[in-house]
Order: sequence, then C-alpha cells, then structure tokens
Amino acid sequence: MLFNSFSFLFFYLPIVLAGYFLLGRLALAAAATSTDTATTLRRLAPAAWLACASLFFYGWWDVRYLPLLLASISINYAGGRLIGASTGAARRRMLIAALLLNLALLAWYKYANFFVDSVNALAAMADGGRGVWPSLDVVLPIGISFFTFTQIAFLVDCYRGEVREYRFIHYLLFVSYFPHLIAGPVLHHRDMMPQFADPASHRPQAANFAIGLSIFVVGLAKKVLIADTLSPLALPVFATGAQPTLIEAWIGVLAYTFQLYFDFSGYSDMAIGLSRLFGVKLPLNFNSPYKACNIAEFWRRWHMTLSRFLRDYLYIALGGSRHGEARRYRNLLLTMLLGGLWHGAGWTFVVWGALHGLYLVVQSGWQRAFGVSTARWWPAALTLFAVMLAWIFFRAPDLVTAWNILGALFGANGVSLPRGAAGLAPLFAGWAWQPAFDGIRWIQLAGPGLPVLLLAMLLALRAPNTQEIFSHYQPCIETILQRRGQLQRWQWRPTRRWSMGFAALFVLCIFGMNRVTEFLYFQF
Amino acid sequence: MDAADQPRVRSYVTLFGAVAAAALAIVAALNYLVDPYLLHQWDSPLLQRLRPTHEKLSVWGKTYAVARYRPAVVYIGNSRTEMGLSADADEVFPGQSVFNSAVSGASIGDAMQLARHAARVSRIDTMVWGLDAPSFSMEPGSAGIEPGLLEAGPAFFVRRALLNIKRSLTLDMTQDTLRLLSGSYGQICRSSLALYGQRDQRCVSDRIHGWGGTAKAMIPRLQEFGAGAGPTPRALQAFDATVGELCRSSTHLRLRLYINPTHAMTMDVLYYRGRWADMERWQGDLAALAERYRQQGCDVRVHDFSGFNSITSEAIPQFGGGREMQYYWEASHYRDNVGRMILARLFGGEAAPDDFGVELTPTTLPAHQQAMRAARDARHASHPQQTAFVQHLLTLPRQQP
Repeated sequence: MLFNSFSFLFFYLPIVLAGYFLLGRLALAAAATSTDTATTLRRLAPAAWLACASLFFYGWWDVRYLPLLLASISINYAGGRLIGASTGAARRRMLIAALLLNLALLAWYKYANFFVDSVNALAAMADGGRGVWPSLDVVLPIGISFFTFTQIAFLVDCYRGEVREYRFIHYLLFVSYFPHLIAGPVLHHRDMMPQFADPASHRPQAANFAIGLSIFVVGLAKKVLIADTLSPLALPVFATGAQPTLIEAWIGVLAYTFQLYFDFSGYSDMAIGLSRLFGVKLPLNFNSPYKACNIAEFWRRWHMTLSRFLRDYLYIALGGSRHGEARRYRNLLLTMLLGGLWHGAGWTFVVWGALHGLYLVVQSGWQRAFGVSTARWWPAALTLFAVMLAWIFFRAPDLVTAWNILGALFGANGVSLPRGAAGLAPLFAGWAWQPAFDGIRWIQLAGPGLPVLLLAMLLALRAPNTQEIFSHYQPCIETILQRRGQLQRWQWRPTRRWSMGFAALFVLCIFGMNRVTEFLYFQF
Repeated sequence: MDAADQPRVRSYVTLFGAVAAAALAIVAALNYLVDPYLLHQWDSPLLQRLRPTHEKLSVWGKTYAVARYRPAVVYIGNSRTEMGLSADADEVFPGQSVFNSAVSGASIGDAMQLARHAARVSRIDTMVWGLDAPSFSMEPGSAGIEPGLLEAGPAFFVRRALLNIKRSLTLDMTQDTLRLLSGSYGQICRSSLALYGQRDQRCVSDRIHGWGGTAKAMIPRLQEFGAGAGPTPRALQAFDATVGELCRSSTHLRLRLYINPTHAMTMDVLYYRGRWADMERWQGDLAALAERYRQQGCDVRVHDFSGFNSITSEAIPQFGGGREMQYYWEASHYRDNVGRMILARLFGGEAAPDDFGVELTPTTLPAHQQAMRAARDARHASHPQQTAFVQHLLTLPRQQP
C-alpha cells in the first residue's frame, strides 16, 4: 500500500485513525476510573492498535516477510533487555552478538546476491568460464535497511546505558510504525517511545489534524505532481544502451536529480504529516539540500536522520576526528562507502558512496588550505554539480551506463539538436559549429516534463521548504532556525485561504494519482 | 498552537474536508454519469454515441461488457484480432452470442489476462485466440491494463464500480466529459462496444488516412513488427499454464489458436532480423502444446495463417498494389474479409483459399515449415525489389506511423 494510493487514503488511513482515537478515548476513560491490570491493557490499546495496523501495512506488501520483521523486533527487544541487565564483558559480548545477528540478516537479504554475482563475475573474468556459485535470487524484504538500522541504534544505546525501561508494545510500534517503516525517516527510540506512551497523543486534536493534513498534502504534491512528472524525462536516458547525446544527458540527469529530491522529501513530508495526525512528531529529514554551499552541509540537509545515524554510530565509532587528519579522512571515506552500500548492493552504489567520501575529503582539505569560501553563488552551484554527477552512479543500472552518461554530459556522445531547429544551422555555422539536427530521441519536448523540471528547480533552489512554511507550528521534533523576516507571506496559518488552497492542491493530487508509482527509496 | 487558535484550526479542518470532498464528489459523479470512455456501459444508448478515432481505455469497456454480455464465443488477441475478426458471424456461430475481447496493444501477457477474465465472468463455449511471434513475450503491452482491472475474486461489479470511480477522478476524463457536454468531443466513429468488440472500420480508415495512407504506414508497421521481443520461453511457459487453466475451467471449451496472417513482408522482417529459427521453434512449441492438451481431453487446435500464401502475398502500394489494399490496412493488420476466411477455415463456412491456413500438429509441422521456407526463397527470387525494400527498411531509424 502506497501513501499515494486510493486504498491507503480512503480506506486504510480513516479506519486506523478512527480505531486509534476510539481506543484512545476508552483508555483515557479507564485511566480516570481505576488502575488495575485491565486498565493498564486498555491504556496500551491505542499503541497496540497502531502497531497491529502497522504490521498489516507491512504485510500488505508481502506477508511472507511479516514473520521476519516480527522475529527481528522480538529478538532485538529481548537482546536490548539482556544487554541492559548485563555488566562488564558479558554486556559487550551480548552487544556484539546482537549486532552480528542484525548485520547477518542484512547481509543475507541485501548483499548475498551481490556477493555471489561479484564472485561469479570475477571467476568468469579469471578463467572465462561460467560462475562458480549458483545464483541465490534472495528477495529483498522491503524496509529491511530501515528497521535494522533503527534497532542497531537501540542496541548500542542499551549498551551505553542510554535506554530507560520501555514496554514491548511501544518498542514494536517504534520499529514498525507505518509512516516511517518503508522508507524512513530513521527514527531514534529516545525521540519516539515517550511520544507513543504519552496519553495526550491518544486524543484527537484539531491542530494536529490541520498541520498533519497540510504537510501531508505538500508531500503528496511533491510526489504526484512533480516527481512523477519528472520520471519520464529521466527513465529513458538512464536505460542500458541509451547513449544519450549532450542535451538528452543534461535534461535526464537534472530531471533525476530533482525527481529524487521531490520523491524522497515528498515521502518524508507525507510521513511527518501522517504521524502528526496521530499526535506524534517525526524528526526532520530534509532541509533544502540543494541550497547547500558545500558537501558537508549537503549531508546535514539531505536524509538528515540517516546522516545522523552514520555520524553517531559509524563515523564516531570508527574514531571520528579524534586521531588526526589522516585517520579522519579514512573514517570519512569508510563511512560514505558503507553509506553507499547501505543504499544498495551494487558497484554503482559503492562508487556513489566513494565519490561522496572523496568530496568530503577534498572539501576538508580545501578548507584547511584556503578557509571557508564566502562567495555568493559558486560554492552552491559547484556543490549541486558534484551531487548531480554522483547521482548518475546512484541511478544508473550499471557502471558502463553511468560512465556513458557522465561522458555524454561533456559531449562524448555528440550533440544533436531538435529537427525543428535546423533553420538555425547557418547561425551556428557562423560560429564554426555544425551540430547534427537528428532530433531529441529520449526526451519528450512537448510534454509537461520540461516546464515541471524548471518549476522543480525553482522550488528546490529558491522557495522555502515544508518545515520553513510550517515553522510557526513545530512540524518536526527539531526546530530549524530561520532567518528573520524571510518569506513571511509563505508562512502557513490556519486561515480560510490556506485551507482552500490546500484542499485544491489535494484534489489536484487525487486527479494525478491514477498512475500510482512507487517511491524511489523503497528499494533501499 | 495556543488556545485562541483552536476555533480557527477547527474551521480550517472542516473547510479543507468540505471543499475536497465536495469537489471530488462532484467530479466523480459527473464523470461517472457522462462516462466518456464507456467504462461501464452495456445495453445502453450511450454505446451508439459517436466518438473520436482514438478509443481510449477500450480495455476497461470490454472487460466490463464481457461480464455483462456473457458471450458464448469470445475472441482474444491484440489489435490484429480486434480489427480483423467480426463478431457478426452468425453463419459460423448460428444463434450464439459472440464478443471480440481482443485489445489493441495487448502483449501475450495481457491477452492471457483477458482470456482468464472472459472465462471467469462468462460462459465461454468457444475461444478464438490470435497470436504472433513478436508479441509473444511477457513485456508489458500498451493496452492500459491497470492493477485490479482483471483480478480474480468475488463481487466483480462492486470492485469494478470502485475502480470506475477511482478512474473518474482524473483530469483527462474530466476534460473529455466537459468536451463531450460542450459538443467539442470528436464524433468520427462508433465505439467498438457498439460492434460487439470489433473496431469500427471507419476509425481504422480515418487513422490510416491520418498517417498518410497505407503506403506511408508500411515501413513503421514492419519495423514495429520486427522490434517485438517474442517469442520468449517465459511467455510460452505462462501461455501453457493459461491454456491448462482454461481447459480445466470448462470441459466443453473449444479453444482455437491461430497465428495471425500478417503480410508476407512481416515474415521477411523476421527472416532478415535472424528470428526465423525462433519463429519455427515457436510454431513447433504451439503444435506440441495443443497436441498435449488434446491428449488430455481438451479441444485445442492451432492453425497457422501466416507465411507466403495467396492472401498474405498481396502487392503493397509501393509495388503495384492499389492505394488501399484489398486484404490489409497495412502490413500487420488484416481486414475483416480475411477474418471471415480465418473463421471459415477454423469452423467451416464460406470458402477460404486452399493455401490459406494450415493446422499445426506434430505431424503436419515439418512439411508446413519446409513449404514456408520454399515459398520464402521463391518469393525472394521472384520479388527482388520487395526483398530489398525489407532489407533496407531494417537499416533505417525506427519511424512512428
């Protein structure tokens, strides 16, 4: 079930909301009257209902992996309790065992195919024969990267003694909570479990509905009206063997750059909005990343919850910047390489991660040598260009295609202009340039794609983001700092004008929802 | 948010809900009632309404109609069958209800879904299924079959009503509803539903005219035929399972598979693209499949109308033929006079030329394939210009009709 589907919007969500607040009302009434075991159970009923609904949501994709999710949750919860109850070396051994178990699960489901295929490819290269191992064809359970990382953080914090006593039902809900389960944000137990246990969230509040609905509509519009319209511009350019020419490559790569942002940040907005309907705030995941002036800032703005996880549980665990510059660079490279592999089991993701690691190292070295640039525009433009180049590897089906598209950006596949522009040939000839007028094969120039691409660039680079629009009403767990007086008229208020505007946007999204498309981040 | 905001917030939510719900309800009701694409019409005067050449969402209308009409005879396939086989076939199927459930752009995967759907929702005695090698792959077709449209399950009409409401909440349908109400919607030809599933010849003729005539449509159609990914083993496996399912669904089902009589040049396209051996293997697989199911008591037969016979070898406009061909709209779509000959060969009736249509069995196959090869080589020798034309068009960039 997708957030941008009719079954979710008009059946699942209303039923889950109604059940949650009905049980919430019963829980609040019970809490006021007595304190026995039955009352305790009633108090937990809203969270239990939401957890069951979340498991149903997960099972809707593929019920075969529901036992895997439940086993992972149960074992990690028990593991966390045991770690918390142990001391000394036993505590450390318990943590290592639990971490290994999680990593083994991830390795099998996410990386076994990649490993076998890579070994077979190497063997084939070495002796020209067939692969040595049979193909495994392990199917990737959706969301496994997210629920595994979430629980690794829980285990580590149990080891560090940073976890207070939690009920199993709240832990189950924390891991399986449907707004984030499939594609994040990566949640932290410290932020979430107290909210699940808070009886105030069991009471329907108009403010939460107003803010949640509005943020959800923004996310839905990002996905349905922008990202899905950009998809046809990118899809054919990244196909194997497409060999795009210069203009096609630029449009295709730019389209993917902005499609990914609007798709993923749209999903995050929808998750934040949906969760707010239940009175639960989620962490911020995007903060206008394409406005970043350097790569480090980009990672503080892009998929922020994952960046924090990688920083807190990988980079710092590797030593961070504690042992000199060389070790710091090594740690940066390793963190980004593993971050790349987390996104997907393939060499393209390894190269993508390595590129970002390299960018961070170069930026760090540059800043040491020349200081932080205060120039107005080129640092942001250069950052966006570097990010865009890396996205080619992130999106391409294989390295050969990625290199081809990269070359095409610089004219390696030639330049072909639309046939209709053939009349300009004499003008170009005057500049000693004789391009071909063989037409644009992979881009539909007449469709809505190109105007939407321009709009997407304008919105991503110049407009306030969702959190800035709703900043007066604390849309997320964190508060983001905003320059004073900036874009005051774009600040959301619960007025009739905003309400009508969002209702119209919602109707427009519904009109665009007949082509239901998956979110790009579901594959990770 | 402070307490002073609470009334404003409540009215915000109420207004949002009211405006969105009212807008969606009005649009859904309007589109559902006007139904510009005939998504849920059968036995309705709306079927006679003239419409533009391009029949949008015809798969929706046909899957609904077949459930309402519940025909005894159904045709399955892609646009070749949809255009070529007339449901007005009383001489072949006297007293029986006939419906052409073939859909333009259907891959074999789509056609299998349509066949299973027809068997589920109707009482099929006879199924006539047009096949061809290039479209015999599991690649998604362009028939517009959407998730849920052909799913098995109870309460078909309830599920379908929900799907129709969902589909009615779209911009394109709303625009076409408004065009229809304002009288600016095209009025060129009749819906295929008005002709029991066969495409209105006026639509086809208008379309061909729009492309610049039969001659202009030849090259793109031949290129399109050669570009198909089939036949593939995966499609054969799925097809085998579907035939098995159909045989199990009814003990008295007559299943007639036929290879479409596309123009002889389409065979040359396969030959020069190095696909001839694949095509012959596929013919053999179909013959073996039919034989196996016959031995299990299922009435399955397969005929081949393709190749180089007196129908498929008609001269094309570029080489001495008329501006319009007698048997073909263009290279890959035959007219319904050919369709009548197909039905005559399969079920008896009006005469078809002796060389048109051969039943494929493990016994007849070697001789048939030998004859096809000989006819191909003879044609290449006797029609060098046509042969060179085919070879040349395969070197050209892909053209759109």
